[in-house]
Order: sequence, then C-alpha cells, then structure tokens
Amino acid sequence: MSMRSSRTSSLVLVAALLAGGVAAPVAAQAAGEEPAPARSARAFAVQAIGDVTAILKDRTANQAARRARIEPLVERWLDAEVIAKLTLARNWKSFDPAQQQEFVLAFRKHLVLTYYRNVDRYAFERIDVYEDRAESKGDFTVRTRVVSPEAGDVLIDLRLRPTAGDWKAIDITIEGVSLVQNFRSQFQEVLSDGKPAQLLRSLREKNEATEAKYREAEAAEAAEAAPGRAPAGG
Amino acid sequence: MRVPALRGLPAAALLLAACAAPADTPEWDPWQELNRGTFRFNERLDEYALEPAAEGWEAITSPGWRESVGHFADNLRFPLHLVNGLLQGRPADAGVATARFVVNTTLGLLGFFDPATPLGLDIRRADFGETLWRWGADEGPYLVLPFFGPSNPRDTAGLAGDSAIVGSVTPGGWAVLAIHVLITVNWRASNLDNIREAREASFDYYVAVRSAWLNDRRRDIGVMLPPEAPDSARPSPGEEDPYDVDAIIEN
Repeated sequence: MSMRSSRTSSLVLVAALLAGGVAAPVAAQAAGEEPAPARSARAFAVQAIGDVTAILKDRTANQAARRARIEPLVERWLDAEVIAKLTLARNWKSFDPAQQQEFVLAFRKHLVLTYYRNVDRYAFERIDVYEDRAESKGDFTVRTRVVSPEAGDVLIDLRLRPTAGDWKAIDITIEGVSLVQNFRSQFQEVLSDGKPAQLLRSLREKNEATEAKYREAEAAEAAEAAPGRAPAGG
Repeated sequence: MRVPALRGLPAAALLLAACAAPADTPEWDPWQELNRGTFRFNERLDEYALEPAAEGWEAITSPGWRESVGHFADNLRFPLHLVNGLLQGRPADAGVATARFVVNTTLGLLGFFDPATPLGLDIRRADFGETLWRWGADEGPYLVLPFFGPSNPRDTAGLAGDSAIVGSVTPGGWAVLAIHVLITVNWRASNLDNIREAREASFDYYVAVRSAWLNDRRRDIGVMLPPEAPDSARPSPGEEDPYDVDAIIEN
C-alpha cells in the first residue's frame, strides 16, 4: 500500500521470465543414478532464453501463435513433479496417487499459463546473464537480469536440476522471492482447512478462467486483423 | 538535527526483543484473523481509491514521468537514509547518501532526475526498522497495518521513528501528506499489471503477499542474504534443505 513496500513491486510478479545463464563448465554431481547432463546449466539456459526471446520478439506472429509456441517449451523446461512436491511439501502425502498426478499436470498448466502471460506483456530490451553457482543436490542457480528501461530491471534466478541427462527448472526466484516458497505457503494455508479435492478444483477453475481470457483476447486480436470478415461480436 | 521522538525508542526496541518467533515458523502469523480483516480493509481501500487514482495517474503521465516521481520520492527520503545510516554505524553509507542528495537536488533538479547513480553514488537505503534490527530487536509476528499494509511490530516502531525523523526536518502538515499520497499513487500506477497478475495467479492472495513481503523485507535489511551472496541458497548445517524433495514431503 505505501511507498515502504515499493520494493515489493517486482516481486509480485509471481511468475516471470525464464532466462539464460553463464556457467563455468563445472561438472555437476549427478543426483543419484541420473546420468550427468551432457551440457552445462549455462548451455541449457542460454538455449532456453534464446528460444523464448526469439518467439517474443517476433511480432509478426499473433498472440495465439506466440502462446502455441511458448507453452510446450515451458512445459518441457519445468520439472513439474519436483515443483509439485516442493510446493505441496508434507501435504503431498494427503493426495492419493491419482490426485497427485492431476495436481502435477494442473499446476504445471497454471505455471505455464502464468509464465506466458507475464513474459508476453513485459516489454524487455534484453536479458543479461551473470555467473552461476553450484548448489546442493547437483543443482545450479543461474542468475539473470531482465533489462527493461521502461518497466525497470528485474533480477531473476533459475534453479536448475540435472534430470535425465539434461536440465530442468525447479524454481524461479524473482527479486529474491522464490516461486516455490510462495506457493508452498499458500498451499499450506489452503490445505490447512481444506481437502486436496478443493485445491484441485480451484486449480482447475483458475486454469479454465485464464485460458478463456486468453482465447477471448486472441479472438479479439484476430477479428481486428481481419475487419472485413468478422463483424463485431461475430 | 533534532530527533526528539527517538529518545524513547531504545526502550521500545528492548520490549520488542521479547517477541521472538518460535523456531520453524518463517511466516509467524498468530494475529492472522485480525490481519486478514485489516488486509480486506486495505484491499477495499485500494479498489475504491488507490487503484482508480493510479489508473487516472497512469493515463495522464508517461513512464518517464512516473520514474521521475519515483526518483523524487527516493530523494525526499534522504533524512532517513542519513540518520539511520549513522544510527546503524554506517558512516560511509550516510556519506554517500548525503552526496547523492546534494547531486540529485541540484543537478537532478530537486531530485526528479538521478545523475548520482551514473556517477557511482548508488542508493544506500536505511530506515528505522532496520536500525532496530541492528540494535537487536526481533521482528515479531506478521502484522498488517491499515493504510500502510504489511509490517511487523519492529517495522511499525520503525515507521514511527521514521515519521519522527521526517517530522523534525520538514514543516509537516498537508503538503507533506499530499506528497506522500502522490508518491503512493505513483508507485501504485507503476504496478497496475503486476498487482493484477499477482491477485489472479494466487490461491490465497493474503498469504502470497505475506510470504513475498516477509522475504523481501528480510532480504532488504540483510537478515537474509541476498540471492547474489555466495552462500545464500545453501542450507546451513542442520537446517533442512528446502530443495530436498524427499525431506520436504516427509516433514
């Protein structure tokens, strides 16, 4: 509310840009029996950021086309099951296996939708990549700065984990606020006096509402692009 | 500089030190019921006053204008950066804050521009809540203040201390209030989309704000290491690794 909380401005971007990284090619210790990734965390992040930047900067494509290209990329980058477990924490076990499966998919959908919306509306100039560092569990954190003279720079850290011979994102920290930690607090609250089924329902409803909103905006854009063909409201 | 209201505050800090959070409660919120009520009040206030005002302000200003007002606000907070920098035993930071103030008030046209940063005088913020932390006061439970939003007892005392500092160097009255309102509306206008997104993406907006604010505040004053610090994300020995899936779902 007040200017005291002005630093909170960028951290209410609860989901935002995935970004690229620079890493010394340090051999990450692979978790368990997983094969070590063939490329560095840096290489993964650089490619991910390059792919998404190319799509976002291509304004010849309309919103629907950009979304159709970005969503599958993000789905592939996220380790949805690890994120689901980290955010549900001890509540994970109060979900039966079918509910766990549904949660993993629905929460991934939520993250992907939110991610898309945030990156597509955020006009950035470029993404600077700083050093990365090794973490526990063979993870690497890749630090980045989204440079936007208009909206202000945003610092984003990606936590990447070696998975099946490559890297997957298991957390995104925006201006020091970890998405995993933030959702964990929320889910703990929602599940403290609610059942897994209720959380799943609100997740489904949120996803449906968000997608409906996108489709509406995309249809409006398409109608605008072809004014002769579709009368207003048609 | 005259800082009359500060005399009683060390005692307040000692009192607050008694409010230590129980272990394992990174978001200690025993007053949640009351806080949620205040939060709803603030949200209502935002809905009917602040957000519409911010939308109006956004419509009549350019991003550059809003950025300038943000610089102006930072420059006005110079007395807080100076006094608290000194109270915290950071004379070098207080010196930089003073040099910034001189440069930005003159070359920066009353602070609307920020030529100091490119000159290497980056902002060194300090506030009285942080001062109380350095003096040993504990954070206490999460507390939502009407009008001011997320806080805790230590930062509430900090707010009172900072008001005393500002009150001792400015005439006070309606002009100060009007400037504060303008700064708040300007900040809100710069975050219209961010806040809309956060409301829509969250499952419990109250908790999302609490978690984000506590994190941000702790990092800001240095209780928690910033993410760029070498060891910030590494759990200390004996502490649970927040990224260890097996441990996380067991506990």
